[in-house]
Amino acid sequence: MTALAQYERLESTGRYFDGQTARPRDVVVKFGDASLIILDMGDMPIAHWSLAGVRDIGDGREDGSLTLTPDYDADERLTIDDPTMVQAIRTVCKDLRQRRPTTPKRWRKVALWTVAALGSVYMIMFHIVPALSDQLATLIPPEAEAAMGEKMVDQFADLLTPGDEPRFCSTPKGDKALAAMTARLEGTANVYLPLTVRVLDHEMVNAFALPGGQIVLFRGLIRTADAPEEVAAVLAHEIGHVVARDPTRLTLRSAGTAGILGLLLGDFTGATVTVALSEALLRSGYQREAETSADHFATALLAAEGLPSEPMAAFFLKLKEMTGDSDPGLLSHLSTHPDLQGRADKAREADTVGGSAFKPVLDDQEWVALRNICQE
Amino acid sequence: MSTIDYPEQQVWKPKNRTYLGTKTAEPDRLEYTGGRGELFWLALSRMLMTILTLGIGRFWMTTRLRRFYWSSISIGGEPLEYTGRAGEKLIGFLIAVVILAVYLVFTSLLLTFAGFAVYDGDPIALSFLQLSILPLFPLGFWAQYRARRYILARTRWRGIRFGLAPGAWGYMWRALGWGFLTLVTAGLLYPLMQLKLSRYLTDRSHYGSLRFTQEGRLRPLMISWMWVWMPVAVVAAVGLFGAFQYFDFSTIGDLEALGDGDGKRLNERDESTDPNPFSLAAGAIGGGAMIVALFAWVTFALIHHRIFSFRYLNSNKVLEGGTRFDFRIGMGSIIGIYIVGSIVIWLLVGIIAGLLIGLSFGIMAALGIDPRVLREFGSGELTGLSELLSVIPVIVGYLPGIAAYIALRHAFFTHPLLKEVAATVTVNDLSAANEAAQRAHDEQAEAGGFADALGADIGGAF
Repeated sequence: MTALAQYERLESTGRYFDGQTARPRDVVVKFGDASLIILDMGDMPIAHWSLAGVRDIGDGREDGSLTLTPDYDADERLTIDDPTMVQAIRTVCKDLRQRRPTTPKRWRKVALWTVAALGSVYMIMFHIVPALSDQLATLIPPEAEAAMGEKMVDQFADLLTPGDEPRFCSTPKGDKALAAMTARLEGTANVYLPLTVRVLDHEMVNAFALPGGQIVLFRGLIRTADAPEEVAAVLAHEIGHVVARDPTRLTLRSAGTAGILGLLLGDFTGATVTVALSEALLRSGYQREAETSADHFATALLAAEGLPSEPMAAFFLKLKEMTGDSDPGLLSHLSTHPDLQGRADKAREADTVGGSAFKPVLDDQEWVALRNICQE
Repeated sequence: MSTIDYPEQQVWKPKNRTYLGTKTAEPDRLEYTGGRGELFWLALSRMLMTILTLGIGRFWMTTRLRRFYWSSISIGGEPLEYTGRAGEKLIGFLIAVVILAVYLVFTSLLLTFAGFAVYDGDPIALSFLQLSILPLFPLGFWAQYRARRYILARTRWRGIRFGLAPGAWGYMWRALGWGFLTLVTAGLLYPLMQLKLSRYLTDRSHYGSLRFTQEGRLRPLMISWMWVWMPVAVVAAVGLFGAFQYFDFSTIGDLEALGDGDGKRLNERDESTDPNPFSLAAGAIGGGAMIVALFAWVTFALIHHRIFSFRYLNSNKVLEGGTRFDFRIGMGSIIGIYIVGSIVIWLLVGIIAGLLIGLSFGIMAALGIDPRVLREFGSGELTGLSELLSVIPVIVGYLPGIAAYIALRHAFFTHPLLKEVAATVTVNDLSAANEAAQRAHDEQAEAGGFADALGADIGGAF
């Protein structure tokens, strides 16, 4: 230790704090054998600090003085103002600013809590919230749900047509046709609240159900359908969601998870969350089981009305074909479901009419009126 | 040894004493000795790290910045010391997430359910999503107290710990109560809230075994607040009185009739019932000017009140035994710092962001992407790849711009403010603090995690 030998005879004053009280003690500091010796003014040693363990606690200071601790867990402090001594200590103690080591115990603790946090967020978002929402959804009075749904339709229509005023299509003849179709299905479906079916002037091939029996068909969907039975199949599917209270459950679920997302993303205004959730709702729709049971409901409803479900299968296949050429306008919750072929097969299997005659949902005149409902 | 009652020149000052011919401490000063350049790079590098780690790095950033600031402040020649660790803050945040997630889910679900069940046609249909903040609001005060307790428990001076006694729930109820009182008195009792809450916090704060006490009275704060409150109250009262006095309710019918689009009738009415239309115009201009003047006045008075109450409340925090700090920072110097800082920061941020955004469009051009995809972003009309690519300007331009902005704020707001506060403060009777005995370690396992989870300002230090 040549550096240490060089400073062998160096002495300076300092202020020592014993860690018990805040009272300063004037001391003399000098180097010993691999240690820093702290003596009181009567030359009696107070402490020996190992040079390897000494740490600088004042890293932001630019006034030249140095405040030391024998190690990071100790309460004692020593401040030295003498520039020569400060320089000497900086030279001799290379690890003066070494960071406090992170113990394996602390790492384990971090790992444990990370797992716990992720696990509980997962449990809440994917198990507790859905279960609770399902329970709560059945407790909401139909009138309250209807009032809420009406408001939500406008909000969603606004979101879908950014910049423009959303428009629901209506012509006297078209309305009549739509009402006839709805009445035929609603009568058999036995819905717990009256349905409100509307056509949104939007080119997307889509349809959705909102709380309060609100069903919105898109213009693009009606124009894509080749027969009124195809539209009726989609409508029956959406009625299936309404009967299962899927929209209400999903709304409650979004509310429950929005808070958590805000918590993790640090956004409590909820603005981005609202938009993100609405888009998620429109795109991916409900969980797979909800879709399957809505399909099941639709085929049963069609069968009960003596209608074929072959057109439903045809419509699914049409959607499958259209998503093949990835036109972004077709990204809808009906088409993003990967298993359209499977759904079409199931619909065809459920067909009870076969090739025999049936009473059409709409006559030709009504069908033309519905197709042209968005043309004034 | 007390120095309070003697004239300045007769006092024997310890700083005149020397040992072995070397310089010793100058006990009665508070100094801030941090370097601006070091602080800037510290903040910038940590902020970039925070962005790269999607926010997890903020615990390391806060810790490092606090260590810098604390150790840059020395009182009587001894630096403050921050002993908090980033790891414990991360653990604290995770703990807070677990607890808050449960709390939030139940409260927001119940609120939404209630919103559904008692729905009466108010336009709150989708705003229930925003309602999820509501149950968190009171917890904010609770978390604030806990965060302060953590910070004090990790602060040392002369090796002795500071501390804050438990009392977060009490603070939350008081904050809510005083806040409510302030609200129902239309802001009149705001200084009372300030004083009471400061008293609650200060009277539970300790340096070692010594307790702090919040002294001071309501009157000076109230007088300062009146400069803000009175003009607003007077104008509001006059306005309301005038509205009731002069508003002729029978004209409502006439106004409805005007809506019929009968232009002739409008003209007739103007000539017959308004003898002097100029008085109306003059009134409008005068009223407008008055509103602008009021706004300017209130802004100024608010700044003044903020500075005054900071000075008054902090100067009246007395450590058991008599140590106190006299804050004298002037309003002019603070406003000056903010004006100069704002100009510097926005100039630099503007230059940096401009360069970065230019660069990002260059990258997009090089990759052959039409910048118009940006307009489609968020409209739900984008396919996966272009959606991903449209994020390029955000990553290359916006995020480093934010990092630069945060770092510049530290260098050009916090740094000069601390310097100015330190330069203008007077320390009284520091030797009384010698009596403080060591204080037990306060674990505080959540380490300010609740305050962080509830919307900490990312990139800040305090």
